Amino acid sequence: MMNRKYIIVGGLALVVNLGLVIYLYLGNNTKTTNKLEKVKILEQENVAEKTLIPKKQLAMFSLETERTTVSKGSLIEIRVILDTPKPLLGADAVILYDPAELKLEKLQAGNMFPDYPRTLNQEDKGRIVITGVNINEEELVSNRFALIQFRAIGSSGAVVSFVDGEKGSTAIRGSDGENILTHTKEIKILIQ
Amino acid sequence: MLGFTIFILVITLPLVLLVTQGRIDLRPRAEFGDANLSFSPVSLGVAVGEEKLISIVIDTGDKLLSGIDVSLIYDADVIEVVDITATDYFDTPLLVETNIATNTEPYSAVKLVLVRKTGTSQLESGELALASIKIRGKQSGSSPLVMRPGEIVAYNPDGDDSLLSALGDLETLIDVDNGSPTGNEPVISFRTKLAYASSERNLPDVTTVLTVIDSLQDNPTQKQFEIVLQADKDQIYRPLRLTKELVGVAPGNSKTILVKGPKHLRKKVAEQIALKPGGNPDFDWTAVSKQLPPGDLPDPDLDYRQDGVINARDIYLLKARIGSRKAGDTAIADLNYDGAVLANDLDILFRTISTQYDDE
Repeated sequence: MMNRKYIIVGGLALVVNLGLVIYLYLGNNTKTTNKLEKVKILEQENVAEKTLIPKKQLAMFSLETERTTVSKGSLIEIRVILDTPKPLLGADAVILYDPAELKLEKLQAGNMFPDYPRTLNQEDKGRIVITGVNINEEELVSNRFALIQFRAIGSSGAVVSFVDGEKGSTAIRGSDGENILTHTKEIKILIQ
Repeated sequence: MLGFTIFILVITLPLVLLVTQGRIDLRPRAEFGDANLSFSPVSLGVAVGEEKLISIVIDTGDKLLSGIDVSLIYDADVIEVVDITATDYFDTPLLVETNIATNTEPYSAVKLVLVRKTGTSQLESGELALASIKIRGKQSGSSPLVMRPGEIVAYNPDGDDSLLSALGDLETLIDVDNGSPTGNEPVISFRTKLAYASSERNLPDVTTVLTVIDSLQDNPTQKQFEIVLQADKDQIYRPLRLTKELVGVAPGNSKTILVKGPKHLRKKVAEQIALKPGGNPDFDWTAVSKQLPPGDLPDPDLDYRQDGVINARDIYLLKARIGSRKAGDTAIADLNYDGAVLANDLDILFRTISTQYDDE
């Protein structure tokens, strides 16, 4: 007799609870207007590297200078440094500057790569593009990628920074052609 | 006993489902406030080859916005995201990444991580534009454009930065149509050359993209046309169909025309010219300064897309194929169209790279 009662109560509970589950499930779905709910974005290595979560550093471009505060008319020498743990086939440094504040005086390839097919200054765009190539994938013994010399012509200052992303700076690994550039470091020049 | 067991199982069933299903968050996070996201305009119509802008707008109410991480998903068969520009509010755009793959064809994604690092006194609340997205129609149809907000970070005077919950219209529809001929559009014919192309072999037909920019309008518009070209014995290319009707281009002054080849950077071949309705003079773009510079290789890892720049990745793509005569390899890296990928192709690439970086 007791068993029968439990079966009846259990059966009722089953109906009620299944109804509750269906209600919750559908209720949750109807709140979503997103038709592409099941589409998942495949995270790329270079995307993950630049999110707010710090990731392991592979190659890094940085800019170094002795003085970040200069007087108007004086020269500023900036070293472009590329630190990489892996052999590279080539690298591109795409650098932005403010041509109203800084005038390029000298752009010189470094001694990191055997060949530098491109040392290009596009003043109208405030952009420098330097490409180093290591076609025989020799061991790289230096991290001095290039040297830039500006004259301070403005009166406030400027940021000199790298362009990254799809049309930006690269560090291309020889083994598979992957871009392993994960970090870039800009500098701020103050003109007094 | 059996009845009691069924009773217990049935009572616990919803709980087990809720916990294991993972769709329903049992503990909604207590968040700092809400942020309304929307598109402006709320929907967009664009013709095939035409480019238009759509903005992402946020309204944070009285909360001071310091950063946002948002992705957008769209149908890559119907539209293309040409460019994304973060507004000046964000002094530190950490990431603007386009053409990210998804697990479902034909959808692609873009991702934005935008941060304002200035002092609290310079943070702003209320309605702010986040970024403008330049969209180009690829083929007729409709593409959803769906925002997937990640973290929206606001300044919290009581402690660390806090998160806002995303609300609003996170989805819009981009309608793409073919544009219908009005009978008034300019019709053009032209001649062009591929720089460094071999003079010893018959050159193959190539597919180029012709871009017409109309600078007269307040917001300059672009239309793109895919045109198959055929070479004559003098290596001069002409459209396979001798004239091209520029549907969607209004006749008039101030037209700039650019041409991009299948392994070439985009070259500006005409600037601030007038296009008449109907037939126009046969344009001669064969001068050395207007020939298409090779070096922007179609990348197999990017679905054979060109990225609009010549960089070390192109050098890798070419070097990895040196010595090959396979059609798949020559289609990517045979820059002089002599039927093989050889050291002289690398030499050609270095010649282009020495003076140019990206599409004009």
